[in-house]
Amino acid sequence: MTSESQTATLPVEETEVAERPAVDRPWVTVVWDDPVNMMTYVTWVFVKLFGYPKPKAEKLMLDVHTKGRATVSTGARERMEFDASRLHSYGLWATVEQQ
Amino acid sequence: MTEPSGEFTLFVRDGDELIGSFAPEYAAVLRELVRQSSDVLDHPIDRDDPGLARLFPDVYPDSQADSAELRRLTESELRDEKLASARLILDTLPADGGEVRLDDEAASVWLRGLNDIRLLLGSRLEVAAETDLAEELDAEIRRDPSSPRAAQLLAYVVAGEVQDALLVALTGWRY
Repeated sequence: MTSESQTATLPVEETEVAERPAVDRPWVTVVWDDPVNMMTYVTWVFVKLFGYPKPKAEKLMLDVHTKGRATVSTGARERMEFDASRLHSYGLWATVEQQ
Repeated sequence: MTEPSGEFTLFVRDGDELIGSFAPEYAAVLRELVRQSSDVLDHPIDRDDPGLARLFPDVYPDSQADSAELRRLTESELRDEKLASARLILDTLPADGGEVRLDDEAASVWLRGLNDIRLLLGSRLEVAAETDLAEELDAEIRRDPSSPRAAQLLAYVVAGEVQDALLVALTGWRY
């Protein structure tokens, strides 16, 4: 399937992928662990705000609890800022970063 | 995070409503807590206060400038929401205790308000992941039962019990 000319261009493409411009990298909302919030409350917030099924919300909550942080949503920067603000209104510790 | 006890029946569901039964001393403790956090929130946010820094976190921990720019757009609305939650609790919780009736939406607002006061108080009390609240409270009461810290620890425990009970009644989730 691969022609010689395509093979020859591959290293260039790989370089491009590895150095993908920052503007293409997705933004994520991250929730951090804290010693006050209750586990069930955090699960409930993920269900309520993002409409996640309870098992998914619970898994994210456990990731936050055991790993210290979890990515809870991915998308455009402005939408992640909106998600972080909504999480703050529920008292979760949320930040935005680029992957 | 904190493991919920899941055995509290302060709130029960009755059809579309969640009904709470508050002993007078519970209502008094809770109302005082909510009033205190309202007072704190009803001023310009002091970001050197760890409790307030926790309630209004930087969205970009690595960029003060980006965080400040976003805060300029979102902080006053966030503060208004938190003040509104506190107001709803004070409006629905009788001063001398008794019955509280909430629909699901009001219960959600209560949960947020309770969470805010736990965050403020937890930060002031320096609650950590390994903190054993019952042990801390016992030790403080043995040391000086009339200390402000004993009162705050007790209030923190009460707020957690109410939040836990309301969450169980609202969601029907069992552990």
